[in-house]
Amino acid sequence: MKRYCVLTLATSLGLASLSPLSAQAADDIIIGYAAAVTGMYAPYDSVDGAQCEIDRINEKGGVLGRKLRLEARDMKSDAVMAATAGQELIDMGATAILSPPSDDTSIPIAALALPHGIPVLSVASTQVQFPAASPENAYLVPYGDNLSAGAAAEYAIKQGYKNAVLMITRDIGSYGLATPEYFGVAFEHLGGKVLKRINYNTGLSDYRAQLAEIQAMDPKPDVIFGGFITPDGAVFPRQFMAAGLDKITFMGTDGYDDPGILEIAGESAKMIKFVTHGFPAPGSALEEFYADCTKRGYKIQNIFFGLAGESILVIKTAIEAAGSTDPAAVNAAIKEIKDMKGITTDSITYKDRGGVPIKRMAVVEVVNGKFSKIQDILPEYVPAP
Amino acid sequence: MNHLLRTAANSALPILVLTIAGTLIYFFAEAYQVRIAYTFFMNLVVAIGLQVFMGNSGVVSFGHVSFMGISAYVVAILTIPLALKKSQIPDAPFGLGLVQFDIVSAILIALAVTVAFAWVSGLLIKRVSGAAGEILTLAVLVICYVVFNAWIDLTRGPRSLYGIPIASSLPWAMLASAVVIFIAKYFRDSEDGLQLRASSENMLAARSMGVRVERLRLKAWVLSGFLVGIGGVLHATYLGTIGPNSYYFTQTFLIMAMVILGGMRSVSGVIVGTALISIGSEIARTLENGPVVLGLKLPTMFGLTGFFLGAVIVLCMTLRRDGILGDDEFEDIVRNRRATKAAEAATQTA
Repeated sequence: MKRYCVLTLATSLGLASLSPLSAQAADDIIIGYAAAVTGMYAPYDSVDGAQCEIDRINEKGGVLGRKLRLEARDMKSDAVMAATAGQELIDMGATAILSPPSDDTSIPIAALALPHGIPVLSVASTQVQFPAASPENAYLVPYGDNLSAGAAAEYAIKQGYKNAVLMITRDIGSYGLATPEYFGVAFEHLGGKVLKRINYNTGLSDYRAQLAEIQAMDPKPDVIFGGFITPDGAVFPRQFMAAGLDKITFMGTDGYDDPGILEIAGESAKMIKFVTHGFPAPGSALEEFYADCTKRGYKIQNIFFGLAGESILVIKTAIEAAGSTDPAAVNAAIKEIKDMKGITTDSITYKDRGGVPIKRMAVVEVVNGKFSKIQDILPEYVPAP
Repeated sequence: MNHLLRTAANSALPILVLTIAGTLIYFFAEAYQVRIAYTFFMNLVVAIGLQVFMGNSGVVSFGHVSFMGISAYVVAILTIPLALKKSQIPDAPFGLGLVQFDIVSAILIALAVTVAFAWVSGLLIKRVSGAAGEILTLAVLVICYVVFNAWIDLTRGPRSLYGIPIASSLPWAMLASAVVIFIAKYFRDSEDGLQLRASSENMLAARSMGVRVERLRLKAWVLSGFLVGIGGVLHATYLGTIGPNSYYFTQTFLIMAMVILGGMRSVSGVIVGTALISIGSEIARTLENGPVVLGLKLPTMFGLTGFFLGAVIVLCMTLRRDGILGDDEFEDIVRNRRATKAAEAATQTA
């Protein structure tokens, strides 16, 4: 038994030491991706989305005449593992690194990459804290929560909503905590009024306590904003509708951008409106990207598939603008990107934005049980992060 | 003094082997492999810290990772430069937003705070055993996690604290683990440790022999809290960024797996368990990335590491419920082998 163990261990070690041998060409441009493939952040990262965009670019001849190569490592939604994966990607000579969706996992990677001048882009994080922690080389690919919440507030005011209730939860990080506050700041700045903040816990199947609190209010809110995610974001309107409060609009941001919401909310889904990264409307770049990738055999889970592709596009644009694959030059070029046409949106600007891009977003509602775009939006007032 | 020397002799073998392995990696391996080695030594410190309580008292603890969190947060809050602190936790209570300590005093304060917390929580833990005790330790874990998450003025809540000076490196982690191995072995074989182990075998018998079980449990709890606290310091001062999710279930179960696989009743067992799980995870991680082995390109299989961990625990629980080493330390194995050889020789001559 013991001898067998030693033998297996020795063979496996032998195998492991062989692994750095790579089949790919040596002059490929390496893009690292410390992705959350497993663990709690897994729904928000998409190695497939990045790989699909790389396939598309390489098919058209690559960048600066060289092929792009994705090196993905699973960081298992763990901060220590993320730093290790980041170091591994730096050792490989990555030109740029894509990082996981939370700031405690992304900041160590940015800190390790900083001495090499390597830019680090979080594919799915909307938390503005990440670029703030490493302003030299850290970027978000999505908008910041303050931008989307500001857009939601602007849309709400234009609908004539006057009174709002903020739903606050501490269970899902700053998304449930800070996003509603950004909405509140923008809503009041534009002339609306925040009547109340109500706490809730995510993952419950019954929100009658919150419902009763709102039933007791006079006047009642026109809009309830929260960092809603599946399933709570759907349970709320369902219960409110059952109680006869179907005139209230539930607003949120990309947490609502999940087909699961439609099934759970049923008919009450028509009470939901949200601001998200983009919408695969017919003829849009996102729709074309989804269709092309589906044809190539990839499976599209959610919007983060598109954002992962967009991350690659941002890096490609920067490499071309820099005319070089030197990480520091690419990093500097990202800072100059202005009005770039992306995949989820037709306008991305990093210039003078401190790592958090300004992007045109989409306001979405539910019609006949399907997501449907109302309009594009780029808010005039953005609450301070 | 005799006991001190004996412990030194007994812990020499594992410490020597680990130091040689660590030194080789430090000088010859790639940067990311050095990080993996660091993670191993850090987890070893935490796992042995946990063993000091779990292995001797027989009470399973889910709460120890909280000690790691507490010491990490204290180090972070005390060492983050003032300018950064102002932007992260401007309303820090007790005037903590206005002070910055050097790393050494911050670490000492962090360990002192951890020990104080361990002592207070230990006053409750020492009274209960069995399922009730385990639930209580679980409660400690959840309470600490909620405080890390909800005391936003102090801990920045779910957002991470960053800017902790990166003061640690592999040699420090190796040194820490050597010290921790020594302390754990010293306690295990001390009079207190022996009495506590007796109480975990048979509580009534131990009590009737005059063993003061509660007092010893408290002692083990505080000592192991201190050792796990060292692990927290290693965590914070190496990553430079901490968030509450690092000190919750994922880390708890990883450490548990290490302790249980090797055998929670023996310090050597924990070393073996930690080494096996760390090496195994790394091999699984390499394989899951789809490497080229002997000219054959393997497919990418993300998730293999999790599968490996689960499989190891299932196999271990089925085949060796007391862990690989069971009750034995390395020196016991060496001695037993010698004894068997001597016995064989004796029968042959006879």
